Order: sequence, then structure tokens, then C-alpha cells
Amino acid sequence: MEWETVIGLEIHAQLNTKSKIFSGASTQFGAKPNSQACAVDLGLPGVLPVLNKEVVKKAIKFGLAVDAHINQRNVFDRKNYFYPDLPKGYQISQLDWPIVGEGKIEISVGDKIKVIGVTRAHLEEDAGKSIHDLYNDFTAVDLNRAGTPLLEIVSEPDMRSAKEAVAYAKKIHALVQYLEICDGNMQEGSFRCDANVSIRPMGQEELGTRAELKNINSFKFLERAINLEVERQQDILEEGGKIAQETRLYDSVKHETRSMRSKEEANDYRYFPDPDLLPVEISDELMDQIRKELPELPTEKKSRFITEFDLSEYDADVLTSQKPLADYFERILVNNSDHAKLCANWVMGEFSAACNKNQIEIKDAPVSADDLSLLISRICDDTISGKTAKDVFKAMWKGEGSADKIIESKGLKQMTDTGEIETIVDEIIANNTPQVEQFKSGNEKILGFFVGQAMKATQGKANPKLLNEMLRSKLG
Amino acid sequence: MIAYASSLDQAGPMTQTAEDAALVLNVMSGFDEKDSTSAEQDVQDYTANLNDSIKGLTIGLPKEFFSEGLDNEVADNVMAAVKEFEAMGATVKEVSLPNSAYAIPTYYIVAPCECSSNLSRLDGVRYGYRCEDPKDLEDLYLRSRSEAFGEEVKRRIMIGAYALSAGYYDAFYLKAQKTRHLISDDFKKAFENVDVIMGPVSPTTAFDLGSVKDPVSMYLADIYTLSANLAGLPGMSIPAGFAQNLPVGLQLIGNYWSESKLLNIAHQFQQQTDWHQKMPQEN
Repeated sequence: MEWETVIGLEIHAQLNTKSKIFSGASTQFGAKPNSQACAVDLGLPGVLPVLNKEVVKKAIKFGLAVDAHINQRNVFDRKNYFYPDLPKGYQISQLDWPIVGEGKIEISVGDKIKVIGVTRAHLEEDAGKSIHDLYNDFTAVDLNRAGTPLLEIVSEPDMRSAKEAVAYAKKIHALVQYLEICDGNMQEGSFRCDANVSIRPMGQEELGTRAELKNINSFKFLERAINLEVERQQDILEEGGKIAQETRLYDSVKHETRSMRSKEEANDYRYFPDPDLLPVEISDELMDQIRKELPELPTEKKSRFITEFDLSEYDADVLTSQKPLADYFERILVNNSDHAKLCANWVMGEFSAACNKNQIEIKDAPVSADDLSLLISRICDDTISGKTAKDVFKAMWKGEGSADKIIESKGLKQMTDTGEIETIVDEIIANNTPQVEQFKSGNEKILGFFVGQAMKATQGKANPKLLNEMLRSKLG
Repeated sequence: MIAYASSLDQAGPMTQTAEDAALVLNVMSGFDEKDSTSAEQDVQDYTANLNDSIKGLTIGLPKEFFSEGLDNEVADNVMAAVKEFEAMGATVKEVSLPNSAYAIPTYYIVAPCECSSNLSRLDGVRYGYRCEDPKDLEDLYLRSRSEAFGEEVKRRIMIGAYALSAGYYDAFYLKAQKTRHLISDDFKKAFENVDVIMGPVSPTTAFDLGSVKDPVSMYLADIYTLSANLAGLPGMSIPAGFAQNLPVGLQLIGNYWSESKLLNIAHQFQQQTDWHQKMPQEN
């Protein structure tokens, strides 16, 4: 039987505010355990939550960027359950009146463009962290993360493959960074994905029973976990079994998913509006202000790259896929504005390859945009050839200094003195009579042989344009 | 102040005279930036109008507060106090608070729901009582909470957890919130015609400690005071006589932000009477 996969994602994006959602404690990652949990985060008796207005602005930004309806009156609810890393015994979240209502976002998979529905996005506080492997008989609790603001972004079950799910997750990931509302760091847990996966016979309208996959901390694992789950469900259904509605934990080491809790074991969260907080009222003025402050979004940037820099659809798409990459590219363009295509090739080629190979983020790359900009300028002003530039780039990546310094110290400057080149060309022509004859009898391709000889003699430093012109006129 | 039922919790002074209450309230009142439900409003000087005349004051007596269940002697004391106000130039009108009958069921949904959540933090994990040698997490929660909370607290936590659970929320909590609105609307209507509402504080005088075993009978003792609490109105209880040698309280309920007026009314009463200075006779 042919099956269709149906996927919906729940993404938790940690909003990058300085202080927590309902207290003044810092949200800095990596501090000493429990050093950033104040009386409110600790759930001491007698303290009350006060909403951090910045989180509201950031959530609105996101909503506007996905074309969503903003609920200008939204409500915080309590989600009640007991757990040692949940100090109050309830999590403040939003149920019936989330701040962001229905929206949508475009993704591209291969050459297809697809619109994925965003069901809602709501604000909530994060819980603390339980550490089970620190002590033998105890679980340790770190409440530094308790009260960190989260935006939970829920998609419609619109995705039909793991690839589409990854494309959507990446798109949201890029968007929150564009909006500068989340740092997107998946290792530190600032951006987390849960996937709701089900399958159904192709053509059937009714959805199958879904399993929720948790503990996925990279796009690679997201794709793997979904594919694994789809296989598992297919096996069960094809053997006549039934899928249980449950939460499953993905184990990236063993590459398997394990049942965490079934629907029956699921908590009854006893949601009700938090009486400690008034409904949030968002004024039209604030909406307008945020709308005006909205940065250029990926799709807008892409169109601009195409029209302004004459880039191809593909180049513009790759360059705008991540904000840091787009910023890096634009920074290089400042001094090389007439050579957009060359700059694009360098950013997408050598630079991206080096980052990927060394698993380095753009902001941490040893070659800054200004460094690379200078190198590209040296290609444009004929100081070095594009080929030589690749070697210079490698040296720069290793930290050997600026482009100019490396060109200078390694003597890589192109030979542009016509006299010098002429001497070499004359010598090569004199020593290779048979090849000269071939050229004269119409074998154009043999020109490459002469270029190669000349480059060899000059250690690649002859200016290719000059060399070509001279060879043609001498052989002519 | 530790949260019990957040939407009902309120701090209030307990003093020997209305004037003292005004003085304490002057210190207590005001906007608290660490409490999101606190109103950002200037604090009045509650002592400023204590000596104003109450001539022309219109008093509303809700007929529902003087019906079945009210002890006769308590009723007599309350009416005697009302007469005192009439002597000072006030007029009396009957008003109706038709939904006040729902105050007790409403309160006993709203308060337990909020309390079941507010008291969750008392779980034996970070502070407070923890049971001996818990064998696992569930045991820690179950025994710490079972051993440390009293019977009435446990009863309310269970009622609240039940009323909030899936499938019951709409029928209980949501309905209680709607009823709460109806109770507020009753008061709004009444205050269109009167300046203050008066009535008994409780249907009987104080019963002996431990003599009422049935929780519902106990809850009924609050029948006249819960409406103001649910509506969020300022209320006040002042000594107004003795029945069976036990104190009887007169309840004053004012409109929103009328604390100053209530204190003025109470202070004027205490200028004419000395119930607030009297003690029950020793047997």
C-alpha cells in the first residue's frame, strides 16, 4: 500500500530578552547553577509575576512576519503539573487566547514552493533543568532556565515528508534570527523542535493517529527521527497493528525512538486563566510601531538581491537563507559593488565550504567579511588571479595574515609588465614549433598549451588577460 | 501575603476604630509594581473625610440579606444600627441582589480552583515540610502534601483540582466566572440608587469552636460577605451590638474606590455609639 506522511511541528524559540518573562533575573546561558533564579523563578510563597513587555514585542514581530493575525487581547493561563524543575507547580502559558493567531510561511523544497500554515504562536515560560546523572541517589535541579521566555510556534499538519519538515524548520529558524528575536542556537536549546508524525493511506482524507517526537536538537536529527518514525508506523500498520497516540523520545546515539508516555498517562493540565496576570492589551500604536521597525525579511531580501545585484534566483535564495550569510555577503559588496556575482561565488563557494568543513559558524569564521572583501578587491584590480586567490584564502583561513600580507610575503603578485611577459612568450613560441604549426592550421584549443607553459614559467603569476592577448597576437 | 485564591485575596486592616483603620490603610495602600493586578491610582488620605456629615446618605438594605436563615437577635441589632444612621440624617431604601444566593457556590468553585494551583508550590521539593524517607518522587509529593496540609485545605485542593479537570472546566470554573459577573452587575444596579449597602456580617453570632462539623454549614456562615469579595468591592465590618452576649457585626459595602466614604460612615457611627469599645460580659 502507498502511504502518505503527515507532519506538523511545534517549535520552541527562546526569545532573546535580557531578563526573564516574569522576573528581573538574567537569561544568560551557562551561569553557575541556580545563580540566575530569583524569588519569582524559585516560586517562593508571596511573589507574583510581572510580564516583561519585550517578549510581547518580539512575539508580535514574529506574528507580523508570518502574516498572522495578532490577538491584541491575549491571555496567560496556568498549565498545572508537578515536577521538581517546575517550581510553582504550574507553567504560565497561553491556551485559548495566544498572542499570535493563524499565519503562513513559504518554503521551497527542490524547485517546488509550498505554503505551510502556522496555526498559532504563544508565549510561555520555560521550566528549569533536571540533571539525573550528577549524583547517585538524587536528581539535581538547576532553575537558571526557569522563567526564560519561549515562543511556541505550532504549524498546521501541512508537511508531507521529512524534507519538507526540515525546510519549514530551517525557514522558521532563519526568520527568528532575521527578526533578531532568538539566537537560534540549537545546541544550547534556544531553538527546539517537536514533530507530530502520522501516516495514512494515500488519498485518505482522515488523519492517522500521531506520535509526538521529542528531544530533537538538530535539523539532521529532525529528518532522521521523522523517517525512522514513518518506517515504524508503516511496519505496524502493514502488519495489521494500530498506532498508539503517544510521546516518543528520539535517541540520536542509538538512532531510535522510545515511548515516553501514552495518551492515557498524559497529564490533565487543568488549564485556567492566571489570576495573577491581567489579559495583555496591545494598542494599535504599538502594532504600528513594530510594523515600522520590522527588518527586511528573507523573501524581501531575496527579491532585492535579484533586482539590485542581478543575481540568479538560486544565488539569492542561498545567500538569504541565513541572515549572517546575507550580512556577510552585503558587507563584502561595499567595496566590490561592481562584482556582485564574483562576491556571491566566493561567499557561497570557498567561504561556505570552509565554514562547513570546519563546522564553524559565520560569526566565528577566521576570515571576516572585511578580510574577504580585500581579497576580492585584489582579484578585481588584477593584483592576483582568481586561481591564486584561492590559495591566498586558504592561507588567510589558517591565520597567516591579511590578503595583502600573504600576496606580498609569498610573492604572488601578478606579472603585468608587458616586457617581462613578452620575453617569456617569445621563448615558449621559439621552443615549441610543432604546436605553433598546429595553432596556425586552425587548432584553437592548442592555445591552452601555451597559456599553461607561460603560467608554469611565471609560477602562475602572469596576468591571464595580458598573456592571452599577447599569445594571440604573436601566434596570429 | 501568600496567595490562596489570587482573584479574591485582599489585604485589609483589623483595628479597634474606623479612624485607626483609615490610618493603617493610608500606609498600606498604593500601586505595587510587583503586583500586575494592582491599580495604578493615587492614594487618597483616608482620614481627610472622617468627620464629614452623613446627612442625606442613602443606605440600601438588600432584601436577600434579611430573609430566612438570619438569626432574629442579629437582625434586631443590625436594624437598631440602621436606625442610628437614620437619626443622623440618612435615608433607607430596600435594594435587591438577586444573584447573591449564588455567592457561596461561586466562591467555593473559584477559591478552591485557584488554591489548588497556588498551593502546588508547597510540594516538599525546595522548602517547607518534606516527608521522611520518600521512596520515589511520587511518594515524596503524596506524603509531604498529605501529611502537612490540614483537612479543610486538602478538601479545597481536591474540589479545585476536580473542578478544573478536563471536561469539568466549562461546567464549573467558567460558569462560576459568569455568575461572578452577574453578582457584580447586581451591585452596579444597586449603587445607581444608594450610596452604601448595609446588612449583617453573618447570619448568626459566633458558634463554639469545633461545634460545626459539616463543612457546608460552615461555608454558609459566609453567605453575606462573599458577594462583596466576588464583586471586588470594599467591605467593612463594625461592631453593632450583642446577641446572646456575643458580638454582632454590621456590614458596610461601598462602590468601587469608596473606601474613604465607608470609613467616614463608620467613623460617624462610632462617634454616636460605643459598641466598638464594649466587650461581652464575663459569665
